[in-house]
Amino acid sequence: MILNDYYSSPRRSPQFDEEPYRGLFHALVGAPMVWQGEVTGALTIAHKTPGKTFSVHDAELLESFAARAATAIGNAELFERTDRQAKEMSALFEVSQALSAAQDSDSILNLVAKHTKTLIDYEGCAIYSLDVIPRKLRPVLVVGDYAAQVQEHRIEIGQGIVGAVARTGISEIVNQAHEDPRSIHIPDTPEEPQAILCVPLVVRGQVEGVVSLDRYGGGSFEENEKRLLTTIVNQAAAAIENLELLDRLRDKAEQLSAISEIATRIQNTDAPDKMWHLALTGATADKGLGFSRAMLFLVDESEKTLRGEFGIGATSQDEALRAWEDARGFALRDYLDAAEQRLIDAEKPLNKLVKEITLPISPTSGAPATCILRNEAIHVSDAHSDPRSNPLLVDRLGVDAFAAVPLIARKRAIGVLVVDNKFLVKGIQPGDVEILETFANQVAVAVENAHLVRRQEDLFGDIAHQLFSPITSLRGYASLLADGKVRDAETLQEYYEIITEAVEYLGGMAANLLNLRKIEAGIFSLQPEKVTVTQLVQEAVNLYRYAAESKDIDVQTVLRHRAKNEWIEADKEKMITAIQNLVENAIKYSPEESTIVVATSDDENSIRIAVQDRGPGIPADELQRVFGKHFRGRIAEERRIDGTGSGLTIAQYVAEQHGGGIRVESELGEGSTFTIVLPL
Amino acid sequence: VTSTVEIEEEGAMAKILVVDDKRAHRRFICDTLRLEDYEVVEASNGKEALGLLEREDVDLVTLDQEMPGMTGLELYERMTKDQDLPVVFVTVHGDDPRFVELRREHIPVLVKPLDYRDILKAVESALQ
Repeated sequence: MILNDYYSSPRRSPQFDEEPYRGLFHALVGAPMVWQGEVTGALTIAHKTPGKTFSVHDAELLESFAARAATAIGNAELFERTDRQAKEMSALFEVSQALSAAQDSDSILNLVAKHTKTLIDYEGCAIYSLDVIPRKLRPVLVVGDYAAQVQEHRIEIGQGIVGAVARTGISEIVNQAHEDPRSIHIPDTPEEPQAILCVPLVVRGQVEGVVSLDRYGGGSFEENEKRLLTTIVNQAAAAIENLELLDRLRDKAEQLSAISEIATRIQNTDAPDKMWHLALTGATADKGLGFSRAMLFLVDESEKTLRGEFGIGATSQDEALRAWEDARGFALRDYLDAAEQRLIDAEKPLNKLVKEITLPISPTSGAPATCILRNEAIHVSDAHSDPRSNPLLVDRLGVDAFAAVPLIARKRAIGVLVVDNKFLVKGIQPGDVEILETFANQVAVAVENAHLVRRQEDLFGDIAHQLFSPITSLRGYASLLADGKVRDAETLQEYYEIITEAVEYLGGMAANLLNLRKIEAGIFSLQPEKVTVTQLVQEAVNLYRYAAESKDIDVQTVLRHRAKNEWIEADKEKMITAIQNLVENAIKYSPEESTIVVATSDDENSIRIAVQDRGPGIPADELQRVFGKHFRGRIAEERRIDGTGSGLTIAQYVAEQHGGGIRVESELGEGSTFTIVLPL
Repeated sequence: VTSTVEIEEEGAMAKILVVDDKRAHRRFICDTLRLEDYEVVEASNGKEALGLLEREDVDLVTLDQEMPGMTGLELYERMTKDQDLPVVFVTVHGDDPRFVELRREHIPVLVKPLDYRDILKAVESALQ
């Protein structure tokens, strides 16, 4: 375009009428700078001398020159951009390589600060990590003149620009930070124009920190710098995520090896309380499963309840802190060693609280009982409001979020393990529940194996030993009789009775073992017939007349049931065995010259046969277990009282098969009463 | 006429302490010994036996090994500390090396279940 009489041309630019341009241009020619079809600028030349003019030729020359200039500039810019991009790319590649090789999050953050510097010019860099407790941004890496001041400063979520980015998770450039209403001033840093570039560190969708760059004195950040920093920070986040994943895998591998160590130890332990001690120690040890508390409830099959058996963990924050301090430097092995030696105090409050709890196994009882019924783990994140949890857990044990898993051995639920993370900030993750289930299975199998092995060893030994007493009588007295050593009728009669008793004893023992085997195999069946209650009681008592006499025990039979309830439908032989087992026990445990009362009574719905002795009684904690298969009480062990632990199991089974049951009342030092209750 | 009858005629039948926690065993040993007119005293555990030995003048002790609290061997060690007393051991585990050793020293060891003849033979040999 040519404007030869500039000041009279309507197309002149009004701004050139103003100072300092006023009067400068008298003639003017301009040409566009076009590069790749786009106008990138304009080239203008002017005459300052009035009267001078430009020709069309001049305009053509200028046009040609402008086109070349545009191309040269465009190429230079293209080169510069390509070069910068190549540098950025290579820097990013380097960052990504370095990040993926980093071994911990500290070195990841250091790499972010270092590599960012090569790409983006900054004066200050602060990397914040979002702590869980308290929920604040904590500077973990600060670079620049004011590092010391920034280092001291914790930032709330939403506070300042860094806090705002942590809340929204969206990167921001604030070039006039000092004018931004959100901005906060960190004490002892200069109040001067400041530009801020803030990018959130997002790991698995959660903001876990913020990277913030500063420029002082008016320099501003560009969009492409934001893009660059975002790329670096995202790579750092991915690296952190990988590290965490690796950590979790490592933890999981460690936990699995811990579980197998615990299971092995349990299997090689013979005392049940030691086994549970080991299991709960494993569940709570830092290098074990790491839960803060573990509580064990065992199934009581006869009562259909879950009985609190054992608890490890704190009942207050103070106790938790002390335990935490004590645990410093302890390896899992140390804990398990201590558990095996019973060095852990059973008098701890939680253990006592757990032992006081008994929960019915019913669908309305909530977890932990429902774990048994549904045969699955239950994970409750708020026990206060979740209807799936039993209120006793909240009221007595202060449970909040918890997981409960059934302990199942050979398809039989033997108990429930309840864990929580009370007094720890971390909750229970689905992964924790998975590992807990693995743990519970291993523990249950180990416990069951140990029991089975021990029970079998004990049982064979017990049976063999118990054969010696009657066989001694048989062989000994038979040898005396055979040699005709004894002549007087009274002694002869006495020896025959001893032999008969020994044979009865052996027969009863064989029958009990066989019956138990039948119960286990599920082939124990009844052959009911019409019998009288009197007949059952008398036959059972008669079998032990001699045994009772030899201890000067008076067995009194008191028949108080009404005549109309005399006839009942029952398997005579098995019912006699049941009563017989009770009488035999009574004789075995009674002191010499005491009295045993076998009494019957009835009401409209049931008839009862009670056997009462004046023996040592049964400790309260054993009362519900006496019916268990091969159960042998402490008193039986201490006093070496013969038995295979099958009599009561069979008596209970027989009573239950008849639609009834068996009850036990006992007081230490006073004696015990076992009562068979049969429905009418 | 056996030698024991001769001793009886002399009025010097030995007094034997039978220590066994199992009633049936104790009873059988006692019955057997009484048939031969030995004087018999009984104890059902080691503590009781030591008490009896303090009070009574006993010529021989039959010791059951498998007793709760103090075993037969433990009791033997304690009661022969300051006197030499003939004993007959009774055990279920006749192959226990300690009993093999005792037999070598001519101390009778009877293995359950017992025959009356074995008891008498052992008692007689121990008394000599």
